[in-house]
Amino acid sequence: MNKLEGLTASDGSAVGPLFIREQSSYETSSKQVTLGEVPQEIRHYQRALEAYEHELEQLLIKLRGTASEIIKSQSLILQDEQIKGEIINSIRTNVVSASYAIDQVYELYIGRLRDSASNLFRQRIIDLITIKDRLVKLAAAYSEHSKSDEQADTKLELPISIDSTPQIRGCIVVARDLSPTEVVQLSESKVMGIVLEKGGLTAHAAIVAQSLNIPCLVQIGTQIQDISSRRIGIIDGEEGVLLVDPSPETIQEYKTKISDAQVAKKKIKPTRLPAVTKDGERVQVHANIEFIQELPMASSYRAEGIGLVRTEGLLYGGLTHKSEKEQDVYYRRLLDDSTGPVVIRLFDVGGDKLHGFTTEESNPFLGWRGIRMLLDEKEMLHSQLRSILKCTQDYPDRIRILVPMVTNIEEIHLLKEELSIVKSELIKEGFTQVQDVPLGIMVEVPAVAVMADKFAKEVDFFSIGTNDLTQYTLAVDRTNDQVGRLFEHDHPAIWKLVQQIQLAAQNEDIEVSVCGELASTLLGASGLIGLGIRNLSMKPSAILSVKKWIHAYTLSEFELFASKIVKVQDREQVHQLFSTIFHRS
Amino acid sequence: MIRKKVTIKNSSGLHARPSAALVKLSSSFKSDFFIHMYGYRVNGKSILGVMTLAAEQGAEMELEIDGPDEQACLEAVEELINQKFGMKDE
Repeated sequence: MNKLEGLTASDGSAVGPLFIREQSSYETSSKQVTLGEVPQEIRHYQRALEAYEHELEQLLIKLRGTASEIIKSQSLILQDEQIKGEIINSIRTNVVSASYAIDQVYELYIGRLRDSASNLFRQRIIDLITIKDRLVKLAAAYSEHSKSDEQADTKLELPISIDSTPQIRGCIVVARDLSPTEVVQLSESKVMGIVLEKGGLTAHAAIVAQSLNIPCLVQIGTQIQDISSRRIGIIDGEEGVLLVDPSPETIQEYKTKISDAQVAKKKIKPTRLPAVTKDGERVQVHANIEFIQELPMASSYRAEGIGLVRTEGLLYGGLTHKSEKEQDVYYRRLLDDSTGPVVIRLFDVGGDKLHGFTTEESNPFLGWRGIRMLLDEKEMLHSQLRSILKCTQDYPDRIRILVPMVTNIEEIHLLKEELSIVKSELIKEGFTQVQDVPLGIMVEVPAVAVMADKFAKEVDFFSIGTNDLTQYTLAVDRTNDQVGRLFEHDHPAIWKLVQQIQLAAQNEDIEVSVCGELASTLLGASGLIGLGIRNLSMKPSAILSVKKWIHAYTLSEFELFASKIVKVQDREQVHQLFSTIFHRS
Repeated sequence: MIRKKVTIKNSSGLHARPSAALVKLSSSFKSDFFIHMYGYRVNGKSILGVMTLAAEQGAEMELEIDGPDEQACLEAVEELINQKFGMKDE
């Protein structure tokens, strides 16, 4: 079995034969035409436009919201008078075929986007290529038709795209990239899921897949080029991976999971109830957020707060310093569109994101990142602290600051100094109502876990980042193919560290939450609750299933499980205990 | 003819949907409407032209409007840009 990692662009899992969708290729029909053919080439172009327009109208019937807006903007591109003029003009003055002129004119515009520095805009290239390809194909079909049969009234069979071929039904479609129209067509053909080599979470294809409820992975990388059609694949939307050639047992496991999920979706509405164990113990379930777009999902699943805001997204796209103003807007949107406490983690990036920093680190995860970098880059740190503290005036008692990559007590002292400098600056500038905010640290370096009793005296809360804690404790880079399988966030060593951290926090009476992936799994949540953690923060899509799980068992069952997993010798035994205690086969 | 410099304010820039809004609005005026940016001069009533400028947040562009209703057109276009195209930032 092969495991390919990507990003989940549209939730859900799927099982099915893989269907490799080749990039469509076509030959533009002969470039040069005769002067006498010019009028009919213009007609071919106009008829191709009408036919395509009609196809889009058919798609629109099936869509709503953002997805329909996207298709509408495609239709606007078709109707663009300037482009129509340029294409007709090109047919006339260059005496070329309609399909050739369409290709040339569109390529000119597509080329501009290719040159664009912005990733967001480059994502749109595929939209334009699809429009162009479809128009070229339709125009070529009309032109073929008129050549083969001079009586233009006979019925013309329009070329169908590969996506409406019957053999695609029930498949997982693997493609380099897809346009939104292609995704809709695939959905019509009842595909099970979509895997894209490129794409992005904001790609139109991804947005349409979400609105049509098709599981979709993006950015799986060039590894998909080695996959061949008809092999069985599994999309695991929870993990963001594609499994190729899984064992029959794995296939069965996923089929059960998928049908369970379908039943659950039908039966259970997002519960307004907070998470409570069967015997009445309250557990806070919060959401991890990076993009504003994730907030509606968090609130529809009734997250009681935002347990982790990953702010480094603000720095992507080549911008090294987001202005304070832009940060103000982002934090305010975040606070407006959520309820409960909001834990803002300071920029957690490596030096590679910084201007003028060119030396490559041989080991960036052990390098200049998180608080280490922020304390050196005061300007960046101050802009973030200023923006956050200013928000406290309008959103009192909701904001907390979380510091990433702490390894030494001194780093906390230094950061507190910076906080008080920034606060007094703000007060001088007239922001007299700024509040002090609770200050917490990420517990993700083993040194901090081991010294948790000392750190607990210095901060207001802990947030355990189980992903990095696992990586540093087990010395495994999960993205390294050779050793990635050794990455076990449910390894007994991690449970023992969590237990130690929890006890230290309890002794000093400070809060602990867990924001790593471990908290979003049923096994992980069970162990964490059993160890005494009462605050779990996870990706919004996991909230519902974790809440349901918590409702189904008693605290003593979770505690029984926890008491055993800190004593076993390997992960296998942890999983066996989980099956036995919670009757999961 | 009037010309005026403006700055794109919404976070995702002039991508598909904001471009569509801009084209729709400007097309409702009689005046010719062009946008100057990066040395390009594109027809502001052409969605493909506007979109492929790839104008990001913070991008500066010059509007050129010429015709009987140029003043009204300029005001409407400016307002649309300043209101971030009526879209929530995303």
